[in-house]
Amino acid sequence: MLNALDNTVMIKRLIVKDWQLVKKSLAAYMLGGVVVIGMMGMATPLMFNSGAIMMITLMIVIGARSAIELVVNEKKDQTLAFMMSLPVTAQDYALAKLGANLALYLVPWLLLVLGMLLVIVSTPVTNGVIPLVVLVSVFILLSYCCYLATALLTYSEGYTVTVMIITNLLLNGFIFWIIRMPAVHLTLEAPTASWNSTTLGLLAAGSVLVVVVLMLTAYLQKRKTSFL
Amino acid sequence: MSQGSGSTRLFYLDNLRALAMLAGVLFHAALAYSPMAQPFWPSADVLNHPLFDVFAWASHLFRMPVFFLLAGFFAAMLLHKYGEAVFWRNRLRRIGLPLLLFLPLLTLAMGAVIQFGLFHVQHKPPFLAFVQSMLSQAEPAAMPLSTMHLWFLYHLLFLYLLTWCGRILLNRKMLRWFSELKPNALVLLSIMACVPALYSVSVPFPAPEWIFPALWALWFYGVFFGLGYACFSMPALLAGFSPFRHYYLLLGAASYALYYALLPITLTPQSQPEGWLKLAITVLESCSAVLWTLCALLYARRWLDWDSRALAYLSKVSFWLYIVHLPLLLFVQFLLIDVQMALWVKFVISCGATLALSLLGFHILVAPTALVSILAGNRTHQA
Repeated sequence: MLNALDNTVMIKRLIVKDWQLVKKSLAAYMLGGVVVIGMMGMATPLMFNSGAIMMITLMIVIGARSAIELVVNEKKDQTLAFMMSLPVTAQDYALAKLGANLALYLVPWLLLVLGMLLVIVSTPVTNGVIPLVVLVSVFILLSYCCYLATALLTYSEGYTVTVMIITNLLLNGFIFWIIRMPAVHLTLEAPTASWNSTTLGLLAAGSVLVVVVLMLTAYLQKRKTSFL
Repeated sequence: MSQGSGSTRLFYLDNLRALAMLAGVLFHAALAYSPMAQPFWPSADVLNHPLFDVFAWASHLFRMPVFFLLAGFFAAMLLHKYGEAVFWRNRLRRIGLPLLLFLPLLTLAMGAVIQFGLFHVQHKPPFLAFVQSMLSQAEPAAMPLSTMHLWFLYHLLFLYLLTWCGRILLNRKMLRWFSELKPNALVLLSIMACVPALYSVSVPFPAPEWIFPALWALWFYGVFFGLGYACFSMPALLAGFSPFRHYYLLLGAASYALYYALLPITLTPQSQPEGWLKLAITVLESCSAVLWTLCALLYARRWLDWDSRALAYLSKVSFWLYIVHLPLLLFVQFLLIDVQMALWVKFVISCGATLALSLLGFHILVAPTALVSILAGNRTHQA
């Protein structure tokens, strides 16, 4: 992968190309993000809960669209053949894809999570929900990393969509699972965020898994000797 | 500010901004002597007079909209002249950085001024009495996070983000539809667009000070920001509005007179109008806000387009004045509450002292430091 860094000019151009492709979608998501944070900020139970559901939906949609649009469709629309004609190696291409996807997802993800936390801290919504919100957001990030890895390693729409469906189903299970944990549900209405060994353990596990999935993807990409 | 690719400076925009800032100091000072603002203004005096209400709520309708209109105009100008990368660098430096830098400092300053008021004011205004009763509880509630009067900068950043979204998402067909509207149709559309946003909040519309974007404010001020953006992008637009400016002024005044007559006597949550009355007040509020904001721009274009030394100076210090005037004003008014003095004298002293302290602060803290390039812009007097 280090050799791939030698071709930074082309890698940057590939990232810019991806940015141009998803700029329109990202603008729409940003607009949606501002509206959702504004809704949650009204701090009535209806608005906060509707906003929270829309926020989770937005995070999932941003990830799903970017993985499909930037990776899977590249092969489907046969633009991969054009990529092969450029002075880039398979490793350059893989690095550019990983970098572009992560940047284009992590920035809106981070903005949405920070916006949500800001709303919780500054409104009458109890700060006890902060660990739940952070854990669910990290799970969504982990899900994204899983289907991005699948897309990058297989370029298969079928496999990628399958992993998306599985992770989305697991998200519901995950929310139910952690809400039933005494360490989480007993502190939901607390005035301050209660980070205990259970929630911290889950956060650490989620973060480690995110890093592992990304490292593994980069390692397997490095071993690729051709685009296909 | 200069327009297009040429270097002709539009003095009337600088001058209008300077005067709008000055009106801001007068507005905040007037609230202390306004009967309607007695229940919530921190430095509400024991003396008050309805004339302060008449002035304060009239200026409230168009003062901040004028700032947003100017911001929209300058945003379009920056994007047109320098492109997106420079636009974002400039806006983050001139809007984002001051917000990050001064919000914590102002929070501390405002806390200190309120503490001063609690300890030194004998005839405590209802707001101070409320804060005192909150603090005397066994477990006082935490103060909500607030952007205070810097809400303008905060919401402006969101409007810049929405501008970026709009430039990508709006297609030529939609833009052409707007550009083909006749001036009065555009005015009517703007008035109607403001009504839902204003209906969703109390009357007169409040300052969106909470530390998250207020949708109604983005909508309402976004209309003015959009108008400003359109005024730069379609130079013929201002000329199209211009022949109607006297009518706008009169119609705005008639709307305001009715609006003021329908306002509740005190602005407590319990006295807020509802139903059809609320709708009528909101329509009138929207009417005055749009018409007078346009008038401010049109009259400035007609009468203020000259290089004035005094207004150039005021324009140069206006950003700093905007940032620091409120804690200074509250401090001065706390000092005056218990003093036996005529109402108008108190008003003049509080405005004069706030301006003097702010300007002194500018020359001691800003002019000799790097802050001057962020807060004082680049206007040079060309007399």
